[in-house]
Amino acid sequence: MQLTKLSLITASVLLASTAQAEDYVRVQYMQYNESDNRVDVIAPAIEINKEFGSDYTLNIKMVHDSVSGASATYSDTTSGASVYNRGVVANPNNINKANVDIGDDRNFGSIGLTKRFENRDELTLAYSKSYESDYDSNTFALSYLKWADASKNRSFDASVIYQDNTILIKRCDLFNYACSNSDALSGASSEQESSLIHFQLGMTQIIDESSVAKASIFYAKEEGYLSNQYHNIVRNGNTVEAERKPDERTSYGFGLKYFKNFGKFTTKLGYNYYHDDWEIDAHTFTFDNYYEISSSLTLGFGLRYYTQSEAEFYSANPNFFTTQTLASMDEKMSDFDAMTYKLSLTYTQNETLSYDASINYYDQSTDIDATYFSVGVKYKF
Amino acid sequence: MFKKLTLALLLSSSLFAYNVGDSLDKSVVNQLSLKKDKLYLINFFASWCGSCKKELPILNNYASNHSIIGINIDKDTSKGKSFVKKMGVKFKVVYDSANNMVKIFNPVGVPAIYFVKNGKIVAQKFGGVDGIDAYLSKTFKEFK
Amino acid sequence: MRYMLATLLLLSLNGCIKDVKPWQKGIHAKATMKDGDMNGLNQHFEEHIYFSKEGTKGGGSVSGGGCGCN
Repeated sequence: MQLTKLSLITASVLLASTAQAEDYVRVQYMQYNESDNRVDVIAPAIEINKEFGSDYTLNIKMVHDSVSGASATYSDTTSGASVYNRGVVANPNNINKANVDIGDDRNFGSIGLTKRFENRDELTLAYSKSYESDYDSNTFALSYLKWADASKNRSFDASVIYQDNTILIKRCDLFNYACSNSDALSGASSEQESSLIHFQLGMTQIIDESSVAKASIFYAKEEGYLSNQYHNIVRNGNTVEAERKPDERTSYGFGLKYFKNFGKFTTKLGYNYYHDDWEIDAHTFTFDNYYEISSSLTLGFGLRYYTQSEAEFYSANPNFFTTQTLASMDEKMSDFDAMTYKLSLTYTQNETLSYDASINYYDQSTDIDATYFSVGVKYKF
Repeated sequence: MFKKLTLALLLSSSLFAYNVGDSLDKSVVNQLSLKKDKLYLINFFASWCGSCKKELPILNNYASNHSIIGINIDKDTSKGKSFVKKMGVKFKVVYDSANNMVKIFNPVGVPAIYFVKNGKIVAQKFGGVDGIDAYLSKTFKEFK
Repeated sequence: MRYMLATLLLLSLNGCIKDVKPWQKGIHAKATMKDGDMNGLNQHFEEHIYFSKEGTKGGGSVSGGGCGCN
């Protein structure tokens, strides 16, 4: 099962978080469940953060995802739904969007090293790998943080991330354009590649004793096999085929954040804008808050609102696609809104042990809604 | 009037900070009870400072044979005292919750170390950096 | 005259952005003021969900700032 490109996410998170001046081990259990018996994910994870003197920090993360459940796509459902029920269908009424079983395990690991120089500028190198039966991803990330002056109220950061992916396309006999002729004839599997390069520049400015603002811009370019082999489209109202997205994608955008502390209460506002040449525009608004109930207990609550426009090659109409080369009925490419409601609690037992729990509800204006929760323990050594 | 106002503005602005070779204000010498011909290490630290947590145990190793004065800059003195107790600080600590003392020194980083002899700054180091133990050993020997 | 001009110059240097001193950064050292989730694994998982269910990617956390005491 082609799961998402987690390496890129972790590279970004890794670059931002390795400057923690603490030695700790964190063990976390995370679970995601969609309604209507769709996708379920169980993800135990571990993180180790170790300081070496004052100038080096090493961070390691490992996650194991077990994905099960079903995902909706179009197929010939005459004899049951299957993503491989493709081809010309005698009775178009048997072409339906239905849940098809999915299931896969994914192993993920990342390692990042931060070096602090005498002026406390930071250089971070990170590598992550994500592996599942049909997707192998390697990501390399490099970032530099530069303090603008001795008082460290302003900093600039620059990062570059390069990702290389190998995708195993299955059932080449079933009209998958991504396969060679020989593989298409034999029905063998075929390997395809994709790559991503991502640049980001940012600035952080401390405004006063209790507030800070951050701004960033990014540019990314992807190339290669960017479609999802498990998503189908309907062509001419009677033919089920594998979707075909463009083999290039250029995107750019910017982000703004503002954090303000009011004694026991901290509020964080964020806005992100995204645009790409698939004609998707997206806006993300975040509103996260933390309240220190006591010196050992912190309550977190937040909202995230996301909205995107649809890709130019997307349609939800089974009668729309005729001769177009690029075609997708993947709901991820549609225009929709999504709201996330978040609640968390962190309890610090003593100098070495703390516990956290969170529960979140995610609701899209499509038919996807999900609950995900997490529990974990952090041990400082 | 403008002379005094300028001096006040300068002292409170980022333009003025103690540096090596500067003489401490008499009020500082008196407040910290600094004696003549004796080498002191003055260390500014806070409970929220991660590097301070690493540096304090190293300073403790020098406490029995050297004169060290810690100046805690937590705005909440109770947090500062709790931190000092937790870290098992073995040297004299002054609580500067109003930040009057640290404003006079105006260090560019925390933790901040000043070596003072005869009311003059002879060496200084800011921020948590590697090799602090070797630096302390060398500087104590050099200016004893 | 010199001192009057110096006073006026120093007063004019004050702006919206304060020159926050290192000892004034206790609040910025709080875990709640950290960029991203207080828990890096949770943040990783949450962003994974968004990238799986939404059509966009790119633009991550911005590093920088903080207590200036590292």
